[in-house]
Amino acid sequence: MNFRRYQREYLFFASVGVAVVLIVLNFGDAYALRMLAEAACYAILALGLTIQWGYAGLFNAGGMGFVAIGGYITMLIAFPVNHDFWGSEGAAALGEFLLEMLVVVAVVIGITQIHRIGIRGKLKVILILIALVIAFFVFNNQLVPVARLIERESGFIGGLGLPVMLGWIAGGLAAAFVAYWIGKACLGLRADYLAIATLGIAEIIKAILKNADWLTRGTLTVSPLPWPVPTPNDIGFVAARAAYLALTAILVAVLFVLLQRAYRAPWGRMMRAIRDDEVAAAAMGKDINLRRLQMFVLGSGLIGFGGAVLISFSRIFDPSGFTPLKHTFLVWVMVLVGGAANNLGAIFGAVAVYIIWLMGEPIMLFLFENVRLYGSLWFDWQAPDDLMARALQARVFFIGLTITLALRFVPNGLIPERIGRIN
Amino acid sequence: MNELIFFINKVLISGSIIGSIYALGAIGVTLVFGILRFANFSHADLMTSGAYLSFVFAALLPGLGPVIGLPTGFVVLPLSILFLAAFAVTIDVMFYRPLRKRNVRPVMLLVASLGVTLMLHGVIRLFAGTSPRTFFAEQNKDVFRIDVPFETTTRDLIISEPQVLLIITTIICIVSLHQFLTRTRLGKAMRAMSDNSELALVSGINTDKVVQATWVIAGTLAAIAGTLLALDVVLKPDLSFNLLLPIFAAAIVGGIGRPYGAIAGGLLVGFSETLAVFNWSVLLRPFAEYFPEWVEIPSRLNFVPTEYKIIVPFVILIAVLIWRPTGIFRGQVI
Amino acid sequence: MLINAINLVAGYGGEPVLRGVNFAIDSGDIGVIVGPNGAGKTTALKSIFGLIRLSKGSVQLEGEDITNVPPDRRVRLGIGYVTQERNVFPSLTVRENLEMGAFIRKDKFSPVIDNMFELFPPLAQKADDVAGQLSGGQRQMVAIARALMVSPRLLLLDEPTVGLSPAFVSEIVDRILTIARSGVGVLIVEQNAKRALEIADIGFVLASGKNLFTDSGKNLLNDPEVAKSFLGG
Ligand SMILES: Nc1ncnc2c1ncn2[C@@H]1O[C@H](COP(=O)(O)OP(=O)(O)OP(=O)(O)O)[C@@H](O)[C@H]1O
Ligand SMILES: [Mg+2]
Repeated sequence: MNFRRYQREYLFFASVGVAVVLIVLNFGDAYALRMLAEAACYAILALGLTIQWGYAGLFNAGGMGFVAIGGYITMLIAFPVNHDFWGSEGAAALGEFLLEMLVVVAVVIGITQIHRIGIRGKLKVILILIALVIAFFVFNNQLVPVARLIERESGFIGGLGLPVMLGWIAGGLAAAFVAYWIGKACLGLRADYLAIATLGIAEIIKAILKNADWLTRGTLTVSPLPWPVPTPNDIGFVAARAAYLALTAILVAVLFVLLQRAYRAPWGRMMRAIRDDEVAAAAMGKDINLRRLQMFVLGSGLIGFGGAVLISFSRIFDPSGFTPLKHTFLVWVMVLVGGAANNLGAIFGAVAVYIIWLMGEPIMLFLFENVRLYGSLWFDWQAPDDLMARALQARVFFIGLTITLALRFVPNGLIPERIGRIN
Repeated sequence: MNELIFFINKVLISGSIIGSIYALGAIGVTLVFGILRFANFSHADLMTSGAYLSFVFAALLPGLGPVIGLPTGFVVLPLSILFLAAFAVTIDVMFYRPLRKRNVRPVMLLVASLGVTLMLHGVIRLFAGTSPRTFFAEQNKDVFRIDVPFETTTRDLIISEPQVLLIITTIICIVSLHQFLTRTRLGKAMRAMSDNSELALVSGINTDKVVQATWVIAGTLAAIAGTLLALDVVLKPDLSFNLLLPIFAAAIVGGIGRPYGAIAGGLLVGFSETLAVFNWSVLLRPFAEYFPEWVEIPSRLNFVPTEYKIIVPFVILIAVLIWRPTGIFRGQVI
Repeated sequence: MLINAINLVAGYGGEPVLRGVNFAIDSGDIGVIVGPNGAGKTTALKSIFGLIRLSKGSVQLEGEDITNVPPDRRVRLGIGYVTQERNVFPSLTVRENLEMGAFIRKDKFSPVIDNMFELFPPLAQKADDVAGQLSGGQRQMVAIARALMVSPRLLLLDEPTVGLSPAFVSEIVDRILTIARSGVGVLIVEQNAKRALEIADIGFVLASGKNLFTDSGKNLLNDPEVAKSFLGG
């Protein structure tokens, strides 16, 4: 690695370094450590999105959904056991409900095999549809009393009290599982359809987590989520956050090395070939949709994993806290600004954009404090009471602006893909 | 009979209302998709912007409604249409055209539309805050109660003035759009470009003009749909993504680039939603005596709880993508 | 010269596909471009029509330089182009297809449409049918008629007879002769080299983006070298 060749990279990372030093000096090291730990979590999300968008050209507009799955599964696996629930009637009712559903699923699967007894074509499709509608009807109306029972008796089902790391991995796997089904339905079609479907599934996942109080406590939120390293209660904020940051940094580094190797391997080369010239790749006999599905599932799995790490760090599972802005579009900005098909670019983008995002808060407040002040001084303008809240909300404008500007002026990101030099 | 009236109110009327909104939105989305080849993620926020524009105009000209005898928000609609159409064209010039000129893949335009939607989000929240607002602070919302001439009914059919206006306006929009697309040169050119944009260029069709016309129509329909939705329910800034999914589902069900398909799709999605969240035990209760003793009709019996309504368009969307990705009307783009 | 394309160099981003080719024809003449698949014939027509940017060379229409004129303006200047594939609007009716051809005309063009129905009688009965449901030959007629709607001075045809039955081929060839006789310059790309060169006033043999031979149709047909490599012996 000589300096001239990687001048750009050094330059950009050096400026991030300077920014971090300034923040430590201004806001203290606990704040800076929190920021860096979160940025590292975002780096994992950005790597996941880079796989999808940068390597494979797939549009995932549902990052929030996968983050939420990762977060929920971690909570389920790692949060302490709720003994109230396991001792209550609710547990038995839930078991009964699950058994019933097993039967329903078996019946539905049976109906999908109906062609074996000679019923096919339109009739079969209609029968399957009817079966699905009825199954859903049964599911929905059987679940409600069970859910109410659990909520009344024991709040929610709680967690399983297993190791946190296991929760992270399970979170990634669960996200990958959901992505598999979405991908199967949409990947043969235009990129737009995947975008729409992922957007939809994200909103659905959020709606479920928000409303299924028996699973998530809904708006009551669940905390404190356990950490795999000592928590601030044990060793204080600075040390605990430093430990968490060290762990996430190691994760990012490991993922980076693995992805970098995959990118250079024949597999990565093939993915790029598919992205750049679908027709030619198809002519070479590659099963494009299968490859894309791999990429989509892998990327979403990473996003789920990153989401799990991020939510664990926040120590609170709050379904309303998942927003498209913070968990989908912020990551998009990171990838677009950093450099779509470049892992280093994604990591740089994640750290840089997250710093800017956080710093945007005091900056916006400062700006609008002045707007209020001079507005009333010069124009006798009575600012609305919620001006500061609005100012913070309006940060989304800059996210949007950055996306459009990046597309127009740095279409390959600040640290573009280095084809040809990589080998 | 009361139960039936309840059903009509809750399913037929609500379904056609929300279906009309989806249809108007889906036409805009499907035209843009057919001509510019990308799913416009900013359409729902365009609708919201239209509603806020109407709100501003209504606040500026509060006397207008009572004079004419209609809600002020509706009376100022031509103004908002004018502004929103111009706004949509401006957005195109600023954010989409430069990318088109560079011949980027259409999905880049989709990313740009995400950027645009976030900017609209930000602007709306900055100027209007997040709290809901109503058009009827100073004017009453007329509600028509139609007595059904049956002895056994005590309930009335209920429909509000904005709802009536919505249905009438939707019909007018659809008829005029049909006339435009089949009678005028520009309209035919739009269909032609949606069929094959390269050939349109080769034929000497002024494609820039067609693109502009597309945005004007999309803006017009967005202003109408947004305002009427806000008149019917409330005006709030976070409709965006919850509206986007049913609208896309409607456009895809109908077939991309097929405005009539979008109308059918919008109504289909609208009715499916109302049917899915409808509490069916209301209809079963009158028959309770015919059921065996041990069957107890639960107080709520629906396909999808209201909180999960968004599942309905999603399921429709996925089902169409799996079984017939070109939609009912055989759309152009897959 | 009606059209004079000089030393065209153009491509799609990578290596240039055209590496300095020349074409020139006069009004009323039929020029034919032949060559193996991938020789750059379609690319040549696209460059003349302005659909791809030239990296070198120039195009002149009746002495006037139009190298930097965008395609829709070239239609106004009197160039009609029938592309190789997807050359009708499938969901529009035949009549609407022709109207789209006349998009730039400000005058009343219904007499022109009637002329087209005279030139291609099968289209008259199908006037209100959707173009997507026509047969291949009828579709080709719609495409040519659409390009003629602006009464062009120059007509570019990309493989107008490919995949058509012999009866249709003769019919289309016949029409092309009629069109040329009315004073329009016609530049045709053809797979069926022998047949095309028979009607050609001038023929251009293209290979790997270069002019291999340029001569009158007759001479090319009789040239043993051309015959050997391009006319199947
Ligand atoms: N849109 C495009 N993008 C990139 N390369 C292209 C494109 N169109 C054509 N090419 C390449 O340019 C070369 C010439 O193509 P062209 O279509 O001009 O050939 P042609 O002589 O018309 O062949 P055919 O007889 O098969 O129609 C080919 O190698 C082709 O791969
Ligand atoms: Mg060709």
